[in-house]
Amino acid sequence: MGNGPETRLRLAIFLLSAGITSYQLALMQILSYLQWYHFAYLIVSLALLGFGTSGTILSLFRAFFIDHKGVLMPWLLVACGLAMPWALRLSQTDGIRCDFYLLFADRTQIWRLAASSLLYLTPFLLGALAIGLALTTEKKNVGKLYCANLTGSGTGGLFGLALAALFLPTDLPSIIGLAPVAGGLLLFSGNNRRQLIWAVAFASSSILLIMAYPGKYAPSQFKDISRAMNAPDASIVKQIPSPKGLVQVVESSSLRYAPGLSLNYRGEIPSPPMVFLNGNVYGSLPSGEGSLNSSENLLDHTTEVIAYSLLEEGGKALLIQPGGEQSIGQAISHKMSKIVVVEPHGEIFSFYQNLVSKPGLKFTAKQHLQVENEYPRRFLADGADQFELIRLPTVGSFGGTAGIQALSDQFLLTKEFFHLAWNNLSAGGMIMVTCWMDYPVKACFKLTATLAEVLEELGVSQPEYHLAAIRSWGSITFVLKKTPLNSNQTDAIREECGKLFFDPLLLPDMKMGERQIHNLLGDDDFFETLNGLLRENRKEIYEDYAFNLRPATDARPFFYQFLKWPRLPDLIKAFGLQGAPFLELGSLILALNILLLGILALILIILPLFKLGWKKEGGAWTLIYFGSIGTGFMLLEIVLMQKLTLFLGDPLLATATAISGLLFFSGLGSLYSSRLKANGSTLRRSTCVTGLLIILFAIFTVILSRFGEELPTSLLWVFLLSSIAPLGLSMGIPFPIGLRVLEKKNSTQLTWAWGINGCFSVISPALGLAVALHAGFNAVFALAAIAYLLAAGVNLKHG
Amino acid sequence: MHMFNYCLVAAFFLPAGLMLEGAFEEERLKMVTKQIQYRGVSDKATLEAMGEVPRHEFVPSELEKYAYNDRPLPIGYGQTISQPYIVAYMTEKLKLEPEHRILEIGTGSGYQAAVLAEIVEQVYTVEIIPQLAARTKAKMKVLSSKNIHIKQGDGFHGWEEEAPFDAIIVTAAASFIPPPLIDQLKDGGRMIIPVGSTFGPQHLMLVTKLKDKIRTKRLIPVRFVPFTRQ
Repeated sequence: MGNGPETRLRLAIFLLSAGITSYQLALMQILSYLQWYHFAYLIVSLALLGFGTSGTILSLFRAFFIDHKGVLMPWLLVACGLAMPWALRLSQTDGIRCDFYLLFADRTQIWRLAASSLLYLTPFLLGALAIGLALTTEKKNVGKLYCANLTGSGTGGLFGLALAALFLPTDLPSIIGLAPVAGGLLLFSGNNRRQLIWAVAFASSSILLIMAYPGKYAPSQFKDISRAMNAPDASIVKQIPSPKGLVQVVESSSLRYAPGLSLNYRGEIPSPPMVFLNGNVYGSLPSGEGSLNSSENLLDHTTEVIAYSLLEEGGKALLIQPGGEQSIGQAISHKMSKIVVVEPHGEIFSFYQNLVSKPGLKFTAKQHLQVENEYPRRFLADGADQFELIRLPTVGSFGGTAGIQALSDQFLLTKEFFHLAWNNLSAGGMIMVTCWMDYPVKACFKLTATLAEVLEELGVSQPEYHLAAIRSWGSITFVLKKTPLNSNQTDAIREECGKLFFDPLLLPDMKMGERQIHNLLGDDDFFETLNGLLRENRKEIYEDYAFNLRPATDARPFFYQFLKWPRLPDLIKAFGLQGAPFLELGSLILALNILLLGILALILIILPLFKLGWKKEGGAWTLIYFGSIGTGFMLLEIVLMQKLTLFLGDPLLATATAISGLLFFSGLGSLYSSRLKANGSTLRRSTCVTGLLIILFAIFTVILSRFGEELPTSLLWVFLLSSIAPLGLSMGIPFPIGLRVLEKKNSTQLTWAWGINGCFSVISPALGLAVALHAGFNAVFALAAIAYLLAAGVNLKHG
Repeated sequence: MHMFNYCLVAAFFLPAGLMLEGAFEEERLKMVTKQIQYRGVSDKATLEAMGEVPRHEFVPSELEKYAYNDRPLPIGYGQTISQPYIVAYMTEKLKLEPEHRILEIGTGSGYQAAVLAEIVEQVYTVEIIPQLAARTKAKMKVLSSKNIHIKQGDGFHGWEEEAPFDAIIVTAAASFIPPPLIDQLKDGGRMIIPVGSTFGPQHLMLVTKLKDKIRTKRLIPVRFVPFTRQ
């Protein structure tokens, strides 16, 4: 590789693309902390429209950009890099800061959202203008430039994750912005020393200014961390950045952790240091010396007492993501011989690891605590041990989730996961899971339906003898037992209920009237629906109930997706237009996202048509071909990220593998494309092959899901990368070849094609997520394949 | 010249202010009949109190125009002023008598305390956020509310010096009910707690204490009925 202008341009595009992808990941991290994940998703999608907008601008001012390319290119890169920290800084000023939680409650937030989106869009727009300008004017090198773009993006994905482990999220844009700035300076260095000096001076003063006024980044006032910090003596005692989110430890005398405590409890309630992950409560840390050895464990005064009322001393307990010390303390106090804690989050894991070496911790001679930093499904798939108790993380949150989690996959709440856990139980073992009661009731019902279906699939005769549950004023704890419950055991459960003012909810020998002794629900429909879900004809309830209660599966792992669109008017009627959106915020924000993006994308595509002409220029071919491959690429990327989470366990690792793997191999594909002839036949073949490879890949993932979790990680990586490689190579070819074909047909449409590709790429992730939510991952694979086959089809006639 | 200007301004703004007050009163009346009575709240004292307390005085000035809307409103620090109907429903369910002493946990805007103070003898209210406590104290001074006592502190401990209470109202629900609050409730006393997401549908929980037996009852002000096939 030489140091001529072409090499410098490729290197600059590589740096710019790396910076843009890292910035996108950083923005997701920042907004997930300041707001919530799906709002972050919305704003990043809007910001990515910068790519679509760049196509429109380049189409409308093509001559100007081509004439001034030499000056504009480096300045666009410098401006893109500097805009990254400034966009964030300005978005957090008083007049613009948006609290997305208030979007449906305070109309002024809409304007703030628009202003924030515009700010976040700026760096993407500037960067995309530079990439678009390069790709549409460097006709001979389009394959190599596209390769630099894709491999740069892939590298940026990995780079972004590495930086997230080292720096606070809000510091990332300033660091990432240096990559595009360096790219810009590189381009200046070749042709214009005077401008180089100006650029260095400009960049330096901008960086100094932002260092002098770093701004204040406060999470939404409705986030757990903000509420905790409202207490007068609250302070953040530890802060650890990590790619999985910012971990913060808060101490305050008024922060207490005793979720679902019995109203009969009169003892002390400790104020332990609380752990927050991305501003949301994650759990508590040991509150002091010997707190784990307290004979009176708080959880014994919650509905979680149910399992220990059935267990004998000396068994083995597996605590999956326990969310604090209390369940460990409970297992110790009940003299479990072996307690295994599985925690996938590295930083939280290290807190637990400290427990093992804690000098105040006193085990009996026969007790043993083991802490594993592992994804729970992979740990269970190893099947190294059989447990008397498997405790799962609590489902839902106090007061309901406001639909916030609707879009996140929950592989620990699918039917397949319960099968896996069941297989790891000892002969008399049990699974325990607690669920916060929400209103209207959704999560508890879906969990009941899941347990009932799992028992049915396991072929357990008399399933009602294997399921027990008790209810407090705010929570329900279920126990799924391998051997049938006997009368001594049900009596023991009743005794605990009486002592703690709880009520039995599910017992094999349920008696009339005992379900509402202490906690009246005032809603008999609750028990009727619950009973119905345990019967074989539960599908009628699935149809009739206002929310989606069908259990989550590995192909559709969205446990918290409850919305049934046709029933939305009922909800609005019952709860009003102001209240109903907070039942299903996640799904509604996604719908809003698709609608907004659709409208904007339409405007961005149609606008240039007035200037370019529609029919005579073969606009339909350009629109369908570049729209299809943009859609197909992004649909596959989004489904790949979610599907790989199932195999690799960690969503972040899955994202890095999907983005970086796919983009790296696509980069190689585009490099190879320079050797191919640019004609209709190549377009047909490459898109057709891609479509077929997607179908094969989908089949491969179905097969892999049957045994993937049991494979050693290294072998799993080999399987995954070797299957992504051909797919990526093939997906890298259609775009550069398409540009070369278009260049021959009508070069004025090149920039428009870039814009179309960008617009469809932006809509597709939201669309892919919506399809996955309602129809599952396989439907997204099918759509991606159809998109490529459509691009092949359009070349049967054209090209 | 100066004097003339002042007169002009006063002549313009005074009627405007009075008109605004009149408009708020009209909205308040509508709120009582169309949002509260319509949904089944019938306790005379509660309805009178809701018709009396100027809700618009308790919301941030930029949200004044929405004060009588059928919804909660943000008041800062992640807190809200509850939907008028929820305030009325909670008040009614406490079965208040004029001689009652009430404890409120979570003063917030002070609106709920002001409504209670119209009905009962003494209202004791605790707010943990110092800024909110100070703001509401100042507001109560302006409104000359003499039977409302505000303390800045941790609501977990209740107000031991003034206990026991005939009723306790917890306006900011937590994932557990503090044992000291149960202790500070009189025998036969009632405690009410709203549960639900900040702006989403909320339901209420009534806790009753009778000879050391504690019972809870879920009250559902917005009955959720769409269980049947369409």
